[in-house]
Amino acid sequence: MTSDARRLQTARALVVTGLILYVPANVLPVMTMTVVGDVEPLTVLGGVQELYDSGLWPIAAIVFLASIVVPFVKLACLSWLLMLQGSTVLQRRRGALLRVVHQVGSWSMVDVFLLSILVAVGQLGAMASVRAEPGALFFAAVLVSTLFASESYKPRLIWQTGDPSSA
Amino acid sequence: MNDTNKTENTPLDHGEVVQRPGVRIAWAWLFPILAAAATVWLFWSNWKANGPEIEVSFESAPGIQAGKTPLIYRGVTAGQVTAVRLDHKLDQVVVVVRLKAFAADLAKAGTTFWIDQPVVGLAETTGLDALIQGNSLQARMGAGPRVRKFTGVNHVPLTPLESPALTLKLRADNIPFLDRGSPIFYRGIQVGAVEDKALDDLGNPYLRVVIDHKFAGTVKKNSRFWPVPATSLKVGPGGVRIDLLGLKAILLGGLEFDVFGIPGEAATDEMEFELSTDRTAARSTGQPVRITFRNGLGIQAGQTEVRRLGVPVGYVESAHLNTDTQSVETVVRFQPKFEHLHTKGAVFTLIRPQLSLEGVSGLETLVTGVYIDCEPGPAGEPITQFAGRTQGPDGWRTVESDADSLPLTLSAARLPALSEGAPILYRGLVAGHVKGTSLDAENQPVMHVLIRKEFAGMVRENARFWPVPATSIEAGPGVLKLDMAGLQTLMQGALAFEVFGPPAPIAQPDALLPIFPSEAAARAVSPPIRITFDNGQGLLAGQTQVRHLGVPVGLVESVEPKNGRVEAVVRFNEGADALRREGSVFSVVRLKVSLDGVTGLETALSGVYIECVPSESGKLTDHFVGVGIEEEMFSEEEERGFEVVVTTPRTTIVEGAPVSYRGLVVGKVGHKALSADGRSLELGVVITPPYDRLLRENTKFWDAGGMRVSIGFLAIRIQSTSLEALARGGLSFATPDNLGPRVKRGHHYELHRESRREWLRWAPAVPGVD
Repeated sequence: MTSDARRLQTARALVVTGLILYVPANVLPVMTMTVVGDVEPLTVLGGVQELYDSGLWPIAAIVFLASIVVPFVKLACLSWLLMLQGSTVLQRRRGALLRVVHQVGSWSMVDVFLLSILVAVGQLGAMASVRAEPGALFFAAVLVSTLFASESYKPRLIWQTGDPSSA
Repeated sequence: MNDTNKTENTPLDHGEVVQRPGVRIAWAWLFPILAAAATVWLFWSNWKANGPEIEVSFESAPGIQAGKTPLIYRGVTAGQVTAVRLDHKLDQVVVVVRLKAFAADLAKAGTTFWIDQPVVGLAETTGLDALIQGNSLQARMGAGPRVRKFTGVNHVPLTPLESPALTLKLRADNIPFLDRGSPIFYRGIQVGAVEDKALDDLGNPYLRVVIDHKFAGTVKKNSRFWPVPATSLKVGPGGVRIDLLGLKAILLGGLEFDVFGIPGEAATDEMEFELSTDRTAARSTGQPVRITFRNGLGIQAGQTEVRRLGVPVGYVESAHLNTDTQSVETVVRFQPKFEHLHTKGAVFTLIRPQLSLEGVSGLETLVTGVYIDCEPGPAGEPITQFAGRTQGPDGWRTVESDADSLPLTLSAARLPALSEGAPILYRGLVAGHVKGTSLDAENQPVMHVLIRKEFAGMVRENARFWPVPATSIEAGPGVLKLDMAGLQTLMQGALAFEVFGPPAPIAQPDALLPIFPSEAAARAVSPPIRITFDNGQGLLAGQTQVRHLGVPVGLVESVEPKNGRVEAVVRFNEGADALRREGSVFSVVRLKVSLDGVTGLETALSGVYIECVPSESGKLTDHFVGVGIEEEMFSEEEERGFEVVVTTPRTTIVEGAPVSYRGLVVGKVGHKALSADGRSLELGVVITPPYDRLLRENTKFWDAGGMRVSIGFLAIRIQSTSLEALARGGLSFATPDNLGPRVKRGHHYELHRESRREWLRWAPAVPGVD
């Protein structure tokens, strides 16, 4: 097996992993906020909703973009790229898209950073506390898998025609 | 392999792609497999942790939020509210709860759901955690079949952890202070609580109480319940005791229960019980016993106790007037173990506070109220109808001996005011009691008394009875005696008896004996003697004593005016006959205050008395002429002194004024009278021998009374012969140096206004009497 084939395999496997993990990452709560006894488990989407309801729509937009749109777009783009692997359609565009995906990827962990800061800072004893929930783990895993997937998929592979593994 | 390649393509070795057979799968595909496994496991475990969904309806569901409010069972989250909605009629809140798998058994009929909200009250404070965490749904597991729909309760159950073992219904006529949450005690341990109070269909109040599982066995079918007051005050000989049952009981009251007698089977759920009024009532479960009292004063239904040797054995359930309105019938219930006490012959005595010479009895009833003493009869079948008695004066013990007592009838013109039961004393001992009073055939008042068997021998036919005053004061020279016969006599009075003189035969039952007005009267047994006095002032029939040397020897029986004088009938005590010999002198001693001194002071307290100076010989007589004390004294002096008459037109000198010679009192003015012609006053001057020899024909008398004030250059001199003379006036006399002949008795002198200077210088030598 050539290294290109291996890269392709890895990228495909990681994208699939990301897609699988994307579901629990969004369904499960990523954190629990306890404010004066009020226990509130928050999913990513719930957090956005909360922020929007609080009137912080710019932050809600950023979080929404960073936490939901970006990972989803990334996964979608990678899937699309991987599906079109070996064909010759839109090869230039695909190259450009891959670069964008690389660029955006550096922002994708914003949410996890935010959560880690919140968990570290938001420990006010009985008054308020923030706790990470399993959803965060899945979320981080989605991001990590997309990072590695986009890293594994090199731009030159776009220009290869035919299946490298079968070539 | 390389060797063969070298041999075939020698200069370049590009290597060769080795195609292994089959498709190689990259190790990276482990990631999606792991991810899928993790996700599936997570969702599966999540799904597995979820139990059934149930619906609980509430009248209101404050603070319940879908997706947030947990269902708490024994402090553990057992589910979560997933939805809150109103039912189709909008009169119920339906709370949908997703149970956790381990709590699936909560979905059973009988499970109680309630909303835990903070309750801050005096009696209890619960749900404080709800203040911080928000309200929660709470559950207590039931035991029925699985169901999906529940109806929540509006208040926190009294036993939040598990359903009570027993729910009992207590009926009562009224339920005064108990309320939801009132504790139920069994021998001091709280075993349950009042859940509810309500009225049944007939309007009778009842209490629903719950008993904890742990203590279910304490309630028997024959348990008795009674309310315990929050505070009880016990006053007894041991002091005052205040019982506080605890803060909760103070605020909510409490119930207590116990089994009296043989414990029955354990009570079953939903049993009904009667709520007794108090502990004593609860203890007394025996059959009703009817006791009739002539007077039910102090009996209180539900409170008055029946006691045996001071120990409560039952209580009065009710007391009501009999149909004939002549007696009070009480219904008494005994404690089961004392049922044998109301056998035939049992005596029931109503005990009230009593003060008697034997002591104070029933004093505790002053505080605790009256009680009924029970004296059981001989063993036998219990009967349920009795005639009760009220406590007698000497205590109920003496009443039994009535049959053996000696009945007597006492008569008097005026009966002393003695109540029934007043004691009869014999030398200070209680010898019997007064049974009653009535009128005899001649409409004379008589008193019926009972003398105890052991004192019957003391009652002779000549026994004399007299009422003992509650208090008597005896006053005499140097003696002031306050005599209180006793507490009981203070309240009831008493009779005393004694035999004076030689004892007569023992009195027969129902003998008629007299009552004398006082002890002194009773003691005066001699035949009457009559003494006439000029002045009867202060003489009181039945009171004035006759004394000899200060000792009472008799009593004035009656005082009557007779022929312008007063005749006192006097009886002497036994043994004082010797005083009534002919020649004895009787004089009335009254209080006399003069500047000379005070005489008869004791009469200020004791009243006047008749002093008797017996003569030493002479035959016994029964008629005397008494003398006033002053007359007596003057007659003595007149006999012994030398009397002359001093005349003066006017003077302030009174009888008894002193007569002095050179400052020495040698006599006094015996009497003061108008002269026969009415032109002057005559003072009878009595000179005590041997000073009568100072009186000569040329003796001068002058008025020495009053004060003499002489004002000189250097001093003011105030002179008076004596303090007495200052008040009463006085006489002085002087005899010249050339003594005149002696005068005879009754010689008349003239009284000079004042002395002359030379009179005062006279200093005759008077020959003494040889």
